[in-house]
Amino acid sequence: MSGPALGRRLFLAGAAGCLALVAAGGGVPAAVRSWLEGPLGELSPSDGFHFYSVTASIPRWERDTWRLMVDGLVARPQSLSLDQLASRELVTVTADFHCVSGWSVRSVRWDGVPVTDLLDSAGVIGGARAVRFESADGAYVDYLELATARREGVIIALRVHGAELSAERGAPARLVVPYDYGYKGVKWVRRLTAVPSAGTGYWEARGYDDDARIRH
Amino acid sequence: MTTPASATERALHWAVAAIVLVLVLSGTVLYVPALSEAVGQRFWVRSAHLAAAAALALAPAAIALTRWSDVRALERQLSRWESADRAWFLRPWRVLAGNEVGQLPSGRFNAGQKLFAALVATGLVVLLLTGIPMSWWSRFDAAVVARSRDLHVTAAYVLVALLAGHIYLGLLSPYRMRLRWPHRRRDGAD
Repeated sequence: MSGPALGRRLFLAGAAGCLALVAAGGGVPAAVRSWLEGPLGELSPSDGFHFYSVTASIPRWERDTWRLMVDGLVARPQSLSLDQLASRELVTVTADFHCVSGWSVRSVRWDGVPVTDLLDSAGVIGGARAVRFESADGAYVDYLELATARREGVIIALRVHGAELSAERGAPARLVVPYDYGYKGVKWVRRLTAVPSAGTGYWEARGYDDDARIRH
Repeated sequence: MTTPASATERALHWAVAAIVLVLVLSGTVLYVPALSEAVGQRFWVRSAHLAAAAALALAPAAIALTRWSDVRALERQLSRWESADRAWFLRPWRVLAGNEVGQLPSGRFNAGQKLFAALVATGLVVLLLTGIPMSWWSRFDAAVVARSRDLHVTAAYVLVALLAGHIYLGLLSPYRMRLRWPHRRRDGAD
């Protein structure tokens, strides 16, 4: 055992190279991954989105019976059908989608109803400081401060890239918050509730930051 | 005659193997869209992945601390390269060139086993290091998290390929009796 410790050197060089690439690797790690994944096709999603769900199945829904509720500290609680929602003035929001686990989808074009319009229709009353967004999966909820919920670009999206949302992307409606990481974008959203203060969302209760702003 | 694996070596091997199995299965579910959709329950799958990652960092360290001399000796056997190891890599070319190649001298591990051990150790530490910004994303710049994820995925592909080869040679190859890790004493020419 008198030869050089090449195995140890390889190990140390690999660890050092990894740290260097993470800190200042530019586009090299992404290029290597793309090159490696190219032949693997469907292992990597074609539209760039990965599917995340915290329950065992995707919520089912029927066009005739589906409703979006807007309630809580409002003067006029709303129960909107999908057709009623789609007949409102939709806005287009184009933004990069960032997931906290490191993947991004560039220039995603969403069409939907501004949350601030829905809140105005319901007439938010004094004392409301936040909005609770509830998913039809029965487990996922998240909150936005009222001021954030009213910001431009925060929408209940009905379409992505001109097509209706797929079940995996949150059909028939999902929250889009272009300033925040994706975990704020509640999929399969069925209820908006004006509340006195922001509570703890699903992932926030499991260690994620309440502040989901994307740091560039 | 091959040298049998010590209790420490078996504990290290099977502890890492069990942990890596959990990491590969949970990581595959987290990453492959069709499996993510079929399984759902992201919190629990993610928690299993993170718990296995913590075990990967702690279990070998605990074994090394309690059996330091054994682990140190194993590391030296796997890490040191000798002239016979170079000959081991050149052997296929010499065979293709029509040269007669007899039994090569070797230490306890051949060069392929040494290279495998170094690559797996490197791959696992890359996965652990890149997993840190992925887990504590709010403390890192978004670009650092993205690069960590790209490296994490790349290292995972390489590691799975290495493990597939390891399992093939260890269990399935017709040459397994000559190539597998020497875990049992045998009489014979090799």
